[in-house]
Amino acid sequence: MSPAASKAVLIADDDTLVVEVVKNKLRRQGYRVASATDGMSALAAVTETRPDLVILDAMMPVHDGYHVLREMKADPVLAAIPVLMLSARKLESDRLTALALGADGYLLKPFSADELAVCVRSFFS
Amino acid sequence: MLIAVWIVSIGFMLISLSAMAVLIIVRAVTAARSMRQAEWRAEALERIFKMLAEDSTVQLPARTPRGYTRLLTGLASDLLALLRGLEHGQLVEIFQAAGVREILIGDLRHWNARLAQAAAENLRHFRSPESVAALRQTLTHRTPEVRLAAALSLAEMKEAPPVEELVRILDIGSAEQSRLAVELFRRLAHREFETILAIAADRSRPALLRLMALEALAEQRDPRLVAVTSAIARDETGDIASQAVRFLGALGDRSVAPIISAGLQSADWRVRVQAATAAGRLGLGELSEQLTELLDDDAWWVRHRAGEALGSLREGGIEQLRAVSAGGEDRSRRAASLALDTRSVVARG
Repeated sequence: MSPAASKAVLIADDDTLVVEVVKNKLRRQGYRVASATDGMSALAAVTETRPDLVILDAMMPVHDGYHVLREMKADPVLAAIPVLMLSARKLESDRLTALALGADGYLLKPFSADELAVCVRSFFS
Repeated sequence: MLIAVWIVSIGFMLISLSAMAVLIIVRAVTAARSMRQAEWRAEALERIFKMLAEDSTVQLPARTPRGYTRLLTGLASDLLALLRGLEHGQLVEIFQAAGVREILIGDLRHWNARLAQAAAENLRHFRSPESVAALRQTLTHRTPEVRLAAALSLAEMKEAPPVEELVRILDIGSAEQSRLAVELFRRLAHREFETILAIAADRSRPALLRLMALEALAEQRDPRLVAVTSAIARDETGDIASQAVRFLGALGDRSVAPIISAGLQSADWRVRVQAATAAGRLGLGELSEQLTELLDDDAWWVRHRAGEALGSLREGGIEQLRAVSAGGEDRSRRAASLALDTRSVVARG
């Protein structure tokens, strides 16, 4: 059985093209992928479905990715879900903030879909 | 009389009904067009993802409507900006086979300047003699933004004309004052560092042009920049001097301490702000007394930056802040306390 089988991933990004690219790539790898396009619906989806991995954009409407990350890590039920940030924010301070808040990885946009797939797989191997 | 009123009412009713019918038709046509665009987009994306996954050479559906070619160029622009690595190369091939490069070359002459600018920006992905020739012609476009976009793409393709020629053609420093001009210098710095440095050092040039050249070079931390930047930091104009002082802080050379010290005493608050920031970045502990005095500056921003700078000094800075926060004047005590609080929040974060 591949590590991807039966694993659920949530991609939260307000750019629908990013969502489509990530969904397509991960579904081809065998993951179940759901999506959200703002911070509030991302938090609701995480609470409701408890995915195995969350891929979070930093800049989203309603609540940004950092807020979602902070809320998840403050909730004992959700804190263990790994979070991979996928962001266009290149500054070292942005990366450090995300990691300090509990993110488990940080990928920069523009990104390589192959690299993303490898990164996602590493969470389940 | 009543008949006349009745006829006029009927007339108004007919006009209203006609207007409503036109609006309904326009709405229906727009909705149908949006649906068609959405279907085309989904179909094109599905094929693109399939081609990326299988590395196949299946072509995108051949359609000629203008809406479809716009959709393709839009998708090309978005996807090429989003993805890097192997997929990027594959995408370039896919869109090239679909004729996107030719569409973009045609768009360079479009009456709509925004479309021409987007075409100039996106052509950088499709390197070919035809693209380079078309972009070079676009350097004389009537719109400055389009000219600059063409120059940036040429610079990325390593096909740009010499810096001096670009400065003249694009009129950088007077007409072009955007961040993009700095980016253009940055892309050309590997090839013409000396020329760009000479532009920055030339006092006969417009100050903005010199600053742009300096900013583009500053991140390279080349020791040759120190002398030029130090000279500009003595400029009488506050906004020019303050930017030069900011770059001095980024160069990482502590020998500029006397210039930073002079900046801390400048009559212009913008220079004092940047000098305080630079003192902190360079760790100039010998300026801690001056920084402490600035905790009582008239400008809030100067007091804030002086506090931050003292907080970042390894030796003595924190002690100075603690001493002032315990017993300084009201204004400086608040600035010192704020700097200490900020430090402790950052340390806890």
